[in-house]
Order: sequence, then C-alpha cells, then structure tokens
Amino acid sequence: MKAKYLKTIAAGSAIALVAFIGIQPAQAAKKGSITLRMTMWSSNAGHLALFKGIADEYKKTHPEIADIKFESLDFATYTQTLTTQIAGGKSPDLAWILEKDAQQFRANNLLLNVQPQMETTPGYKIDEIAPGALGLWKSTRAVYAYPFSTSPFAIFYNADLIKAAGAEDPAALYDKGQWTWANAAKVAKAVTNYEKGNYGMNFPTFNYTGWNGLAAVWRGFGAEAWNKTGTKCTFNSKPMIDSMTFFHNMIYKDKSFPAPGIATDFFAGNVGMSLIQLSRAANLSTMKWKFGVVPLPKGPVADAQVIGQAGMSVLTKSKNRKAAADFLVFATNPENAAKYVQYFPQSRTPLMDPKVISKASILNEAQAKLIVADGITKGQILTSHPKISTIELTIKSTLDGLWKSDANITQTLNDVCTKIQPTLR
Amino acid sequence: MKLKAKHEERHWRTGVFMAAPVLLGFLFLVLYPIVSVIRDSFTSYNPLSGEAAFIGTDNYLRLIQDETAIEVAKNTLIFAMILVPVNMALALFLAILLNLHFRGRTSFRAIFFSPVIVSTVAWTIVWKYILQDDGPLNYFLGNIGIDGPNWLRDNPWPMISVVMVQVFKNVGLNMIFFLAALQGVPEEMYESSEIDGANRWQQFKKITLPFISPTILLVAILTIAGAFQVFAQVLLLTGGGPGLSTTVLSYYIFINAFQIFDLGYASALAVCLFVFVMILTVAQWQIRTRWVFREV
Repeated sequence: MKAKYLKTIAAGSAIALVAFIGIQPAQAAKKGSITLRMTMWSSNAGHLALFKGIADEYKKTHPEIADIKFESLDFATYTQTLTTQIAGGKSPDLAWILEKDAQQFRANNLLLNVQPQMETTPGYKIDEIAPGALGLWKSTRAVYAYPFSTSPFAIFYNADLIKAAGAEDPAALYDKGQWTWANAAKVAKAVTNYEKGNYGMNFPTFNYTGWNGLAAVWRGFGAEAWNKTGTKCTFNSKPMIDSMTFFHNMIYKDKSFPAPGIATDFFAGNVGMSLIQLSRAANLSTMKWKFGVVPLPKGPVADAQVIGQAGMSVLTKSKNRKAAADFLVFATNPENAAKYVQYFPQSRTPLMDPKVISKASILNEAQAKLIVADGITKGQILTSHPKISTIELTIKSTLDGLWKSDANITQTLNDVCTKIQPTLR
Repeated sequence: MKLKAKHEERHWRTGVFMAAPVLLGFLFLVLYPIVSVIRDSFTSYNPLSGEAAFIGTDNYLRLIQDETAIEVAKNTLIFAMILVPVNMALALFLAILLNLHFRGRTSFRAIFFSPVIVSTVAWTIVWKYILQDDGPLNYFLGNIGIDGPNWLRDNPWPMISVVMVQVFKNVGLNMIFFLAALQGVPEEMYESSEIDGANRWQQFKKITLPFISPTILLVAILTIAGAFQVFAQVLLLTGGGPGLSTTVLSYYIFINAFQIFDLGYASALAVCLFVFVMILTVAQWQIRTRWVFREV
C-alpha cells in the first residue's frame, strides 16, 4: 500500500513537473483585455504626463486596449534591467532603446520591424523622418524603432553663478569664436568654490559609469573608441590620451569637476555648467536663476558635436506585438511627434524648424537653431558596437583606473585595448 | 492486526499529504532550477535571442583559463574570510552582552535585530548615501579631524565597506541564535565552576563555548554559505568596482547571464560555486564530531 501511494505521488509530481516545463500559457486577447507596458528611463513628471495623455487618447478609439502602462527604470541600469526582464520572460511590449544598444538588440532579433505599419498607416509620413536619424534603426527593408529623441549634447550653464564668479559667459566666448575646452575648463575653475559647495561642471550621463558619454570630450581631440569598422581599439591613441589627460586634470588638478562619489545636481543651482542633452533639461523652466546654453566646446583638433539618440521600439518577445506596433505608430505620428518637441528634439523635418522647437521648448529661436537644428545636422551619434554588451563592462571596469588622482593614464588606456581587442576582431 | 495496519496506513497517508506541498515546492523551486542550470552549463545559451547549442565542457575549460574569473574567485574568498569571523565574533559579543540583566535589554535586542527585517535594497541604498565621499560619515569624521577616504572608490575600502554593510545587516540574526544558545547553558555549571575558582575567561572557554558549539556550527554553516551568495550589496554599493575589486562570484554570474548574455558560461560559474559551497558545508559537517560538544 505504501508503495502504491509512493508511486501515485511520484507520478503526480512527474506530471506536474512536465506540465510546468512544457506548457506555455496561452493568453487569448479578449476585447478590452490587452494591457501594454512600455519601459523608459525617465521618471520626469512632464514626460510621464505627455505619454499618458497620448495613451489616453489612443484608448478612446481602441477599446481592445484596457490600459497602457509606463514603467520608469533607473537610467544607470536601464539596459541591464530591460534585458533581465526580457531574458526572464517578462518582456515589456514597448521600450525606449539607447543608441549604444541598437546594434546589439537588432543582432539578437529583439526589435520588431514596424515599417509595414508605418508605411500603411494613413498620414504617418515616414519620409518626413531624417534619413540620418534613422541610421541606427533601419535596414534596407525594415525599420526597428522610431527615433523619438535625437538630442545633441550641449553645455547648459548657470549664467548667474558664472557671473558671480567673475568668469566670462560661455555664450560670449562662443560669439567670439573662443568657446574651446581649454576656456571651458577656465570658466569651470573660476566657478568652483568648496566652501559654498559649488562645482564648475558636471556630466550626469557619464557620472563614472556611462563611459561612452565621454565621446562628448574625446571627439574634440580627434579621438574615438575604435576604428570605423569597430575592429581595432583606439583607446590608446595619442588623441585619446590627450583628451583623458585634459579631463583628468579638470577632476584632480583643477578640481572643478566632481570626483567619483560626490553627488551634484545642476538644477540645485550650485554647478556652473552641465554637459547634458535638451531631453534632460526639462527642469530648467522652473529654475529661479538665469540659464544659458551653448554647443559643446571646440577641441584642439575638431569642433565635434555629439548626439545621443533614443528609439521607441516594439519588442519581438512581447505577447501583444500587433497591438504594441499599432500604438507605436499612433504615438509617433506627426501630430503626437509634435508634442515631444518640448522635451525631445525630433527628427521629423518639419519639427526641426527652430521656430517650432522654440515655441515648444525652453530654448529661444537662436538657441534652438544652434543647439538642436545645427547639432542634429552636424553632429555624430554616440559610440556603439555590435558586441557592446561583451566589451562595455570590461571598458568600464578598466577605465576605473583613470578615476584616481595618481592614475597612469597611458597605462590604463593601453590596458583597455589589451582587454577588448580580442573581442573586436 | 488488520485494524492496526489500517491505522498505520492512515497516519502514513496523512503524513505524506502534509509533506507533499513542501516536496512539490522543493521539486519545482530547488531541484528543477538546479538541474536546469547544470544542463545550461553545457550549452552556449543566449537568453536574449533564445539560441542554445550543446558545447560539452567548453564553458568549464574556459572558466579555468578566465583570468577575470580567477580574480573574482579570489575576491570572493577574501570577502568570505573577512565577513564570517567578523560577523560571528560580533554576533557572539552582542549576544553575551544582551544576555546580561539590565534595564532596556529587550529594546537593545530589537534594535540590533531590526536590520535583519529591513529590505536589503533599502538598507544598502541608505548606506550608499552614508558612505559617499561627501556623505554623513566623512562629514562626521571631518568634524573630529579625520580625513575619511572615499569609502566606495579608494581601495581597499570598497571591499571593507561591502563587508561591513553585510555584517551590520545580518549580525542581528546570528545574535539571536547565540542568545538562544547562551540561555540554554545550565546556570549550575557556572556556579560550580565559580566554587572551583574559575575566572570569567575560563568559564567562557570551558563552559560557554562547548555548550553553544552546536549553534556555532549552525551559524558558521549559514554565514559561510551566505557569504558566497552576497549580490545586492555589490550591485548597489559599488557595481563591482572600482575595476573588479568588489566583483564577487554571484555578481560575476549575474553579469555574464544578464549583461553579456552568456547564460551557458554563467551557469558553469554557478555550478562551480554550488559545488564549492557544498564541499565547504560537508567539510564543516564532518569536523563537528571533533569540535562540537554533545554531538547527538
């Protein structure tokens, strides 16, 4: 009898185990039961309100959609969290994708081709999107994302703080053709005052973890992480050594750039300049101090403007691909794209008009032309690579050797190439 | 006889059904994942694309030659070798203190135990703020004339910081185990030893330690196993840096699985960690006959 019960339990457990392993739960889409989820790296109230407004409008004409949720993830670990969700079987339906991850996500077939929906939806006007802006997200017969933010890096500055420090206004330096990294460093040094907790410059996107953001500095020195084909590491080139030496001096010699572990917030009013994108400057409209904005400074070799880009994609592992693609097309049509202009520079040609940008954003017309329109036209998108996930952590951990006062810059950059070159080949 | 057999069968049946949920839980939540990880360790499996191919022992051969894995393994051993004695010694010290009779000792017990029930993420985020270069700890040290280091960036302090955050988080739990054990030591043993002229240290060495040795073994097994699994503190405090100085095995497994998308290699690392911890646990269990007093 005992043996009989043992066999029964064993058989029951085996059946349950097979069922657990083998059966994929089928989710039939009932009317009004589809809930879409989009991940994003912003928790800005304005951004969320904008997307929720678009979602609410969409739901009015799409009764099959019960809800559209927007999940804010921390920027520093965004890609890691997103890929963990995907790998764990909890893929969102839509997601913001960073430019550096575009090639990797495409190589792993994670992004749905939405070109058919874009081309067949009346009034979508896919041809309005600047071809250069679509570069990372497009192949010959497919479009994998809408580039909802094509945002040049710029130096936003606290004009009141810089004036109080007796330093020259960056816009005045730019007008004289003297807005260089060397002069930017002088302005930063003048503003720095430890007793008041003032720093000359910060760089939130970088913050000692986002190393690829340093392209905003190194490209002015003629440097790049690897060659055009991505097969040879150039971290140890002389231009890169020069650029990192310059940056290291700002941190450890001038001490005008906060060292690792020191938290600063440009919007708190105690940082003279911030290397950020317009898409991250939404809070400026509420500041009591006067702000200004200028393009990235010229380096000794090049006047290199750098663009960060974000795409909005449907993930192939979504359980509601068609519904998600339909929503993506609605959310990025010309009418809704015009709503993004206030926060995210758009790559639809009519929306790159400085008049349109200045009406919707915190920039005046001259700033809109200089920073956004010219920036998108002249700038180059941030560094990317098809094997970025394999190499970026090695680069980050090796570059940690730079962020101390007695760093051997040449040796550290040589170490980066030694470690990543085998993967680049 | 028939009645007795029927009675026994009913008891047995009841016992089996009562144990069934736990057995099923063990099957699905422990055994199945372990078997899956072992299976995946023989594959090259990209969790993003879902592609997997059998590659035999290639992942294990790669592990032996992976300089990063060797460095990470060293970090893990250093971490455990600092954490375990510090945690256990502090827990025992607190338990001895809180076993004394004084006013408010219940409140102190609750205070020391409270970090155990706080979320690990919340605890670590608060400590990250405290340990910042311009955070409250360095501010306090500055006020007493000490120039504190960058606790999360200047080696060797990042590793020490991660250890101490983990120690303070869990010392309360071990303290409770030791407290219960101390309260089980017969009072008359201390009384008779006092009559024989034993001092406090001799009483501790010859009476307290032997009587609580089963608990010391339990705490050692749990703490050592836990030391090899620490993850959240590394992720949130240092991100494994600076460089690889605080990257431990569990974090390296996570990086390989979910950032490099090499789940096969991550599984091989996980199997090695599992085997190593198992060997340590068995070794500790074997030495109990020599070191544990009153072994049952």
